Amino acid sequence: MTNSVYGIALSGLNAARSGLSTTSNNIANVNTVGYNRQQTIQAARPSNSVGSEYIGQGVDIQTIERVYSELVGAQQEKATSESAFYTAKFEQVSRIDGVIADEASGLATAMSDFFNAAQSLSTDPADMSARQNYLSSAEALTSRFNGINNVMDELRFATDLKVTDTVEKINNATSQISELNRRILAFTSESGSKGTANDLLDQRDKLVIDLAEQVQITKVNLSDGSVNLFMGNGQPLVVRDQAFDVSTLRDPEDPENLLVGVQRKINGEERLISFDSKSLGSGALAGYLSFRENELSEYQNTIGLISAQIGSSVNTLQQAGVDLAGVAGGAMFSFGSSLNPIDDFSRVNANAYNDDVNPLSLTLNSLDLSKVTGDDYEILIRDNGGVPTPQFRIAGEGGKFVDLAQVPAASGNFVVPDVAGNPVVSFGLGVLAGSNIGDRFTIMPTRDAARNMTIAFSRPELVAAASATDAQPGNNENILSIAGLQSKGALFQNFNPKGVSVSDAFNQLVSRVGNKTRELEVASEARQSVLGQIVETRDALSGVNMDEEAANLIKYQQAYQAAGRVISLSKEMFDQILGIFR
Amino acid sequence: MRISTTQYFNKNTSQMTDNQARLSKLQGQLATGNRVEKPSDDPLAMATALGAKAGVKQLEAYQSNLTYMNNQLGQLDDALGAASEVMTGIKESMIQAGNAILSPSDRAIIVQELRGRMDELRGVANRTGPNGDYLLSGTNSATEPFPAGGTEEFLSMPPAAGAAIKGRSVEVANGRQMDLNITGYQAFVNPNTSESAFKIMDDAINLLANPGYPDTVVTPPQTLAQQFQGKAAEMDSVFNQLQLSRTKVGVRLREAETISSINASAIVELQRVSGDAVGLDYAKAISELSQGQLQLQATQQSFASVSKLSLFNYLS
Repeated sequence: MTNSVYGIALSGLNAARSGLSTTSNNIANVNTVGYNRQQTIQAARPSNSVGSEYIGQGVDIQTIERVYSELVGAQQEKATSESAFYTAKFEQVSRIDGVIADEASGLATAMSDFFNAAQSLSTDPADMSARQNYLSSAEALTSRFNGINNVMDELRFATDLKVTDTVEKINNATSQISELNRRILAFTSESGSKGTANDLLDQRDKLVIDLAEQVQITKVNLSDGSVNLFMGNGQPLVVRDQAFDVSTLRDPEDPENLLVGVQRKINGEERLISFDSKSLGSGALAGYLSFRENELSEYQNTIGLISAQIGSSVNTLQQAGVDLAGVAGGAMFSFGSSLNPIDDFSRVNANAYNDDVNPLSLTLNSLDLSKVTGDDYEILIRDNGGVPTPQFRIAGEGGKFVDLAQVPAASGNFVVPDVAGNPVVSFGLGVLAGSNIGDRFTIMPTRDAARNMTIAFSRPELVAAASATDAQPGNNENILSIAGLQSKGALFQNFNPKGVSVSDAFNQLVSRVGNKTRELEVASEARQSVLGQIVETRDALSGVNMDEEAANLIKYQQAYQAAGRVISLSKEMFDQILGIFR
Repeated sequence: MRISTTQYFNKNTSQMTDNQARLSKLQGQLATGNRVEKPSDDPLAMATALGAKAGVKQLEAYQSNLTYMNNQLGQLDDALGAASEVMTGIKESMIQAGNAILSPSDRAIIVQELRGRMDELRGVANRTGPNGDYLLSGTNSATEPFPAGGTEEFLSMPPAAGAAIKGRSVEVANGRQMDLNITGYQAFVNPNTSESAFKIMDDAINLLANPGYPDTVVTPPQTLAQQFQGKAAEMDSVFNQLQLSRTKVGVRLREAETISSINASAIVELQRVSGDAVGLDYAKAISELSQGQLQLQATQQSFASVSKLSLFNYLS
């Protein structure tokens, strides 16, 4: 009997000691990120039957379990991805938001100053200081355009860095997760499924959250304790103890862009298959890519369009007028010296996977700035019953490719229309061969204008202020026309022939940027608060509470003391029995 | 509800940082006086303000054009005023010269006087502005309008070409241009005969200086005296032309003043629009600031005292 009291007391002592260990482990990990509090689950030992009664036999530690909810975990992964997507996109677009309307560095002031300088020159067209002022303000305007474009280029470059960084983080996380999977599998088979590797599970769950911040993932829990992870587009990342690496690749459509993809064999050829932002779903990476594909390109193209419009319309007037010496004026703004002048504004990218046997060239023939929008165009050579035929669609929208009309018919001059059907860009192609089927091009009508814009001359007397019909130093008709460009509705005549002036076009862009930033800020805040609530739920459930642990300490300490007291009591009882025989 | 210790700390710190962020934003607004600093703060207000500010800048350019115009017209007014004084003197001398009882020596004095006045008139007609441009040469501002010893034609051009010389227009309001100049042709050329005041005077002086003057028999059908009277009448037409030009300048000056005051009130209005759109309501911002301060202080105090509470304090 004393034997069993000993045993029972000992089991209580053990249980209390485990409880104290678990409690102190909880206290030690109070600030460990990803730690889930643990608790000792104890159960009464099966009773012994003595006669018709059952006498309890003490306590067993069944398991040390972590307090964790799979459901909350899955919600946290999803909310983390969504919050990271909007936060990433918001961060990027707010960089543009911060500079575009700034009084000192923004374009609005520089544009006003330029046209005001033209006004001022119109009062006294022969005055050298007024001419110098006009030229200097034109120079300031070009450097504003360069500056804003530079911010956009940097953001594009930042996306490349982010892609590289993300790939590293994904591969790092997946290789650690697969390793943890392996160790969890090993642990489970060794310990004969008794007990769980709580710390490994915590680590893995934390890594999964880290991964979810980069890309949206689908998690499949297997009965053996391992998890399988897939990207939003179904691409496997971790399958049991095997990790699948992703890699970076140059966008075949635009070598300036870095993409994420996987190595695949296609028709016996190793190719990198890229993931676009849509197929990735959410996560920071998709946020960055989506910003680059949509907002960044549109904003950069619009800034390019405004600079191209100002530059080319001022140049046209410059060339129609005469300078101070009465000589016909030359271009005041330069966008480069390409053989094909359109290439100074526009960029054409041939897809890296185009046929190299019969390399196809695409030459831009014309560009109507009054109809250009912020869109880029994708050109695809499709198989039209064996005849290679070019088609187009607006880039980034993923719409259907549409056949291109030739104007005049059968001239080889293919015309890309805007939504209203007005011709925007026209181009010619080299000799089409069957092997060109599947070739792709991207046309960016005004992508390079703001980047390339410079001032073409520095001598103020070369400003063509006078009209050619009255080539006198006191004539100001030409500079008056230049000043009038400010309010001329030269842009976006697609739906309204009255068009939009350069300054209004810029104000509209500012308003678009502002609205988009606001929208993303609100979305990002909303997702963050959703995530915050989920994290709170997790913390409330799984986090360590010090007061609770203090109470547990007292509880287990008292249990320990009591069990110890029982042992000493049973010793006394044993001594008493021995005393009988003395 | 169960709450974990980290959660308690996190919640409090995030509340404090939120409060601080709000306060720092308010401080920034108070420092700049702008409620809207970035387009995303209020996209519509920002676009409105940008449009209004560009409008103000454009109007300011018009105002500075008007200032230039006022100077230019003021100089023209001076010149034309001086010219009409000289012309009045010329008229008087010509009337005097027409008197038949004058002796040849008296006439010779008048001829001298007329020559002097003609030079004086030429000096006024050839006046330059502060930048060295000839006031009356229109767009040909570097060319002397009536050079001495020249053809006496405006800009030494045939009359039709001289008449075609334009002044310069500048923009003074959206779509409204005003002429900056009066040309020498407009002010000093007889519109009927296309002869300039200087040509007419030259002829008149030559007639007066003719030894046969007044000569009642030679050069039929007109006598020298009759011809001289004709020249005097032509000069009257030029005088009228000059007065007309002065009136034009006066009308333009008045118009410029009207446009300038319209522009000025439009500037005030646009500045108000821009201020209303992006400007800061100080009273509101300051009260928000003190409210935010109070909030932050309360959070800090409650955090400092509550976070001290721990069961561990009582374990010994």
